[in-house]
Amino acid sequence: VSTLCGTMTTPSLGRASRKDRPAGGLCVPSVCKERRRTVSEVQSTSEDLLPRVASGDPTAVKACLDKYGALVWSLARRMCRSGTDAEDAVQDIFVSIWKNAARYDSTKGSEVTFVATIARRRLIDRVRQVGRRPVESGFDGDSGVAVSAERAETPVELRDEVTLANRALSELSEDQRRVLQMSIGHGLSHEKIAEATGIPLGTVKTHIRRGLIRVRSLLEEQANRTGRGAPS
Amino acid sequence: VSAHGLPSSEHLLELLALRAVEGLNARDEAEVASFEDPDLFDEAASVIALALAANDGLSPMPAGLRARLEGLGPAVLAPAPAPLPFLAETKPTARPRRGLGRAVRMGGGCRLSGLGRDRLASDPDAHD
Repeated sequence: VSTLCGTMTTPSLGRASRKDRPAGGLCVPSVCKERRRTVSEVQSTSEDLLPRVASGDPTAVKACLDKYGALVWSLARRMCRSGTDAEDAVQDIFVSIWKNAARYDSTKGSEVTFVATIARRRLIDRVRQVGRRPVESGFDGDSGVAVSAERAETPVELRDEVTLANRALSELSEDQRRVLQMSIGHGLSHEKIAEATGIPLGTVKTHIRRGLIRVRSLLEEQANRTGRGAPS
Repeated sequence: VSAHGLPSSEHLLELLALRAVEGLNARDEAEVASFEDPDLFDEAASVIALALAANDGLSPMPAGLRARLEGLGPAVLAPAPAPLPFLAETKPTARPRRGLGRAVRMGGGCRLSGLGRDRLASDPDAHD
């Protein structure tokens, strides 16, 4: 799905050193030199937009919105209280992506993961500032923002990433998947998830922790299995 | 740190997982900062978010927002403006002299040039 460790001889391989992280606590998902790229990343490297953004190419702005606009907007919709809040969040996210574009390195991580990580970090910070939204809330139609009911096609450039992401998700237990879906997909707190599902709070935390460990492990296994990409 | 770069402490693992999905308060953030990689689970969380969003069907961005971002982008990408012409870099002054103006007092690495300097040289009131 993104840059994955190709070697497993050192326990901490594949983790970003702090100096490699973008400003503001954002993380380049994978920056260690031992990491290798997945085939989708190798294929898409020539089409990566962030290097163009970093070089100041104004046409890359539109291309970036074409490629990632629906993804970032969809992530924001899930975690924001209102359409106006989501619009502000998306603007904040794209400005952050553009300002940090020079920090993206295609040999160390996939562009979509870089974008999604910045988006999620910004959204988490925002949610923590304004407080979490209620379980059932959605903002469609409640904010004066014209929210389209239509669905955008997943950009073709993201399909390989989505396929790999779904593969990782499908290997989780039903409980892990459900809890992670509520937490990551809908931005619910651990406490809200426990309330909504009747699962004890400690068990919710365990499912989330083990689910994330499992996905992380699966991503690394995937890279080792395919052995794709050249060491950077 | 145990195998695969995971911390051996269950408590730390729990904090790192919490950080990836809903963030931490300042106290917990300070606690995980001692770990080499506080972003341990960010990638996994982003991958899950990507899958969930795509499976639900991505929603197109509102046209108004898109237009605003298209207008904003070039300004963000533009290089930073050049330094103001009346400020010139000098060696940091050890102790700002009184009466030489705000630029010297505030910056310590700037001096007035042009009219400001001339005025200071000729205007005895400027030293007050």
